[in-house]
Amino acid sequence: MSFLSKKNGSAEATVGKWDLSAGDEGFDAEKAKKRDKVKHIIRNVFIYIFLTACAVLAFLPFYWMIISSVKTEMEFRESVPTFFPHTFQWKNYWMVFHQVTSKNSSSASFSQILINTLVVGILSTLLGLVIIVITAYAFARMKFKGKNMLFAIMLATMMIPGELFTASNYITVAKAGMTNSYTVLILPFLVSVYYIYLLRNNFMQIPESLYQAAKVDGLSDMGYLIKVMVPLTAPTLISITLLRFIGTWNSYIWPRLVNTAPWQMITNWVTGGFVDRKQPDGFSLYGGAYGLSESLNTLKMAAVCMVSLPLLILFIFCRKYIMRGVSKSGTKG
Amino acid sequence: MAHEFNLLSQILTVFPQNAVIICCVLGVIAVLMAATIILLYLKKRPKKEPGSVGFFGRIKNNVKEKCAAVKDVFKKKPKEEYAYAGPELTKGEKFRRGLKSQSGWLFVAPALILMAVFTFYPIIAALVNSFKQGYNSMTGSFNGWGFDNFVRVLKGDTGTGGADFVQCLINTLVLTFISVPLSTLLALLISVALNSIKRIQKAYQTILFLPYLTNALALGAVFATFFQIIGTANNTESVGIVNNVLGWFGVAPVDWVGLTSPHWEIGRLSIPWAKYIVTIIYEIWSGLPFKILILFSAMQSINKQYYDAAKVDGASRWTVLWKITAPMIMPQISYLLVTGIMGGMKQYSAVVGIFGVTMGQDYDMGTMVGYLYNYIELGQMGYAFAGSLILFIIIMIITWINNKVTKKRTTYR
Amino acid sequence: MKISIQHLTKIFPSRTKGDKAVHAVEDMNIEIPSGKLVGLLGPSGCGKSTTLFMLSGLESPTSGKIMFDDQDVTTLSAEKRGVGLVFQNYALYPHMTVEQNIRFPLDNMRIKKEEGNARALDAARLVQIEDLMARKPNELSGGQQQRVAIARALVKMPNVLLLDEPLSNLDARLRLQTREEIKRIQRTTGITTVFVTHDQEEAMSICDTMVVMKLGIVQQIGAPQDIYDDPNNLFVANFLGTPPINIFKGKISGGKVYIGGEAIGETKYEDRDVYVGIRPEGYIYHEDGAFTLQLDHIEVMGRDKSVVSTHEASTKPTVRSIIDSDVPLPRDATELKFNIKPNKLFLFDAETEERLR
Repeated sequence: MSFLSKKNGSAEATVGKWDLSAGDEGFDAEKAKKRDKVKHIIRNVFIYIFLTACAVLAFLPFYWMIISSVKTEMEFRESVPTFFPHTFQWKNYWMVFHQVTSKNSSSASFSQILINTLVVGILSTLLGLVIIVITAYAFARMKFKGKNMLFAIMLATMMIPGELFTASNYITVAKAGMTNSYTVLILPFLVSVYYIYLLRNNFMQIPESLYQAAKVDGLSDMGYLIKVMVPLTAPTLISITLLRFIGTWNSYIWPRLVNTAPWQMITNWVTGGFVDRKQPDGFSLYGGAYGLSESLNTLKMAAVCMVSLPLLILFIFCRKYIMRGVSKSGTKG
Repeated sequence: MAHEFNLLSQILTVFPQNAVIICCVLGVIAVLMAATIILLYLKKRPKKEPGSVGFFGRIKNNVKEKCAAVKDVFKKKPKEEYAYAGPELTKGEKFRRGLKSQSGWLFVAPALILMAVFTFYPIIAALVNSFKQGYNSMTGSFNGWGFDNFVRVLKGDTGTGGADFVQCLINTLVLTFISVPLSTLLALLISVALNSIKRIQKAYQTILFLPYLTNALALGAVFATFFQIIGTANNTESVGIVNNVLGWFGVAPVDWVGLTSPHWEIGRLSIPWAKYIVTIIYEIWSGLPFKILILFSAMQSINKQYYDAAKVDGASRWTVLWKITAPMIMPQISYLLVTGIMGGMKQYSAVVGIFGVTMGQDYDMGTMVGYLYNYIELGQMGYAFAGSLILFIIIMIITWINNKVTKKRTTYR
Repeated sequence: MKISIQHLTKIFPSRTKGDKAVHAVEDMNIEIPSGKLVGLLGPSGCGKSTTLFMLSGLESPTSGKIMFDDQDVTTLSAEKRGVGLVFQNYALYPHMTVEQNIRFPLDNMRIKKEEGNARALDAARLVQIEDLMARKPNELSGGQQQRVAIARALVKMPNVLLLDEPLSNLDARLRLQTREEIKRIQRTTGITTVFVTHDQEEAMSICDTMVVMKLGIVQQIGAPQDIYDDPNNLFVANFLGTPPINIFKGKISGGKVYIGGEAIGETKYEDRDVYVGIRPEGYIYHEDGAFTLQLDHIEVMGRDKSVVSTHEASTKPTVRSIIDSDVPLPRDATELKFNIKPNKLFLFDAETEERLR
């Protein structure tokens, strides 16, 4: 007979011996409640301290970057670092704008670099988006010979690290005389297999019946794509656009390889040296007091700020889309 | 001397830049379309042919028909869209419909062409060129085939003063296999903490996510200033924040990122442990946001009922964490470890951001990817190709091991 | 274990400003005798699940008391109450095998391995899943998962077994089978059991005692048949029975009950407007019957006939009455006359909707 069975004839079940009095001294609801509450508070205090510490450490580099960018070089080099600037030297930013970084003897101004970055960023994002959308559409909805085979091959290339292509691509563009142009920054990165894959899956979730309805209504394939599918997948498209633009903004190695300074991107500019010297327009921060070889850290921090802050602002305004894009690529792998 | 590999780039040099691209696009579209169509219609023909025209005769007939049909396509437009595809259709009509049904190729053509030039071709080129000894990328000349490049890369005998591959490999492995598990563990702790609070959860989440959207090089430079011995001001040496903090505990200032950074030497290799620490801290910092995002959202998506059930069953907080939460987010943890290791094998910008373009002193903080770029910039493409192939093989091995390990686990989503 | 619920109230504060706070349960008083199977019945949102979760300790009441035997357990946390809870979606841990799932509560109680194994096997035998111990929940059918959930709740020998909508995730056939199974398990173990359902048929078929709730307020407590035969108010009368009761607008005048112009029965209550409820089985066909219905059609169901008709005073579009199939009905009549069985006729005050007693 099972322990769970009722004893014969007895109405009382063989239930567990649960000590509902919760303690020897007798059950005191108030006491137990208090004990639980104290435990709860102590635990929460620890958790909040831990999280606050992590948040402070996560934010510290940003804080340091910002305050350093407005310190004087003298203060920056003090033996005990200051966590709040004695004097705010906003001139640093003015200087950075006028600073001509030098690399390979040719040089570029910040405005030139900014234009480069924006042009390349916008063009490659838009063109890339068009290619991603039509390719994803073809793979999601159209029927043609060899589709699955082709898609499999494209997915397979995702396994190969992109660095494997760099050397060959460098030779190709160098031979084609494409170096020192915007084209060379845009063309090799237009196709993103991963985003095609992501968008294709998105497209395939749109029910087939919608397509049939559109066909009955006399919509062409292209019309269906633009009028139905693109609006329906807008959130994903926005995520892709943002992430692509951020990618271009942060691109570093390829511009460094193929282009000289006037054609390079904003990250290249940041890694250049910031030294105090007489600028072409006669403007100078310390009149060369630190010499030509010593780099000015505060100017560098100001430059770093100008590269990083737009991303932070973008993040604050488009948090939803960026987070979604990131977490999607996270769970989809 | 073999020039065939550079055929494409040679053709490209003849044309001015923009014309190259347009011709390239149009040409490949044409070739692709033609190839598809011919292949398609040769295949679709019934096997029994009246008379024996032979293979080439058939193609000839085919091409004739098709030429007429292509003219057809451009001449008249089909009036009825939903016509009955009966036997009375002419061959031309049939072909036109076939052409239309293959229009998907037109849609994928741009992507395909770009991939052909910048993805497929480089794979083959890397494979072929890495076996050319003394390869000169500009002239295309080389002196014989063999494993010379690989041997020299592994021996560190490139004779160019560039980075040492084995040094780079060891750096990459050390950095990856220390920073990835550490940051995953820390992300797990933070996510658990984040998941157990109710107030201002969103604010913490946002602040913790900030480092994700940063420019690795820019923030690398900021991190460098934490550790750097910056220089002198008012005749005292500035040793940076970290050394100041260590000073409270009586630790003498360490040159974390500079020229006199402490390191151990083993044969031709050096182990710059101080620089390792700096890089690992930076990588944990920059790697955390993504990991927290993934783990936290995984925890949030666990059905609340499991926790209720566990509570009724008298499970303690630790039991719940280790027996319910952790197993349920295991797929995400293993995903993070795998992608983290993959990303770690390809790290570069962090090191450049902190230590500059030369990746430390004599490339002692070089990574495998840094090695490739170093040799591309030196113009030693043979070594770059060989190095990239070795990197590829290492990544494949890791992928393979990972597949072996994760296949045993089941996912619960 | 006897359960008594005293003045139990649960108020969920409003989420957004301007919203009213939700009174999920209001001033509930129930005595549940030991070893009985009690069903909490009501439409969705009536507070029955909230009551169950307060019994389990997962929700804490706003005010009121819950007593297990003589012990006040109101503030006791869930794990100390010794309750077994079966969730609507079973909440089986997907990464554990059936055996690990069943053993989970025992492990938390630090019960020795051998004893734990024996008890887990016992519980599995009781619900007849001992062959499935090595499987994972996603390899089981819905009914099997349900059994595992019950076994997991039973294995710690709970004072009280609580089931939240235990049959709602099962298909129709399995539902019939499982409800007998639950009854059997409850009888075998003798554990005081409370379960929640919105299906009156389900509640009627297995409950010893039934608690009918509406908008957080208990409407009636009693044995299923008693409640069916003697409903407290219009809501309870309406909620129980398939096909449902027919409600007509009528009035009492001079000791007689009138629907339209016809006096269909007698009553001792004074004159007023009333709702007249007649159970479908309360109609007796008679050529000179007191109550006339316009015939729409007749559905033959073998054992009996279901007469679908209309009446202008009916609160629903059709009136359904069940007549024994032996009773001959005229073939092409447009109206039928019935006498009404007095014990199947209920009168409710037109304003309060309370039963006239």
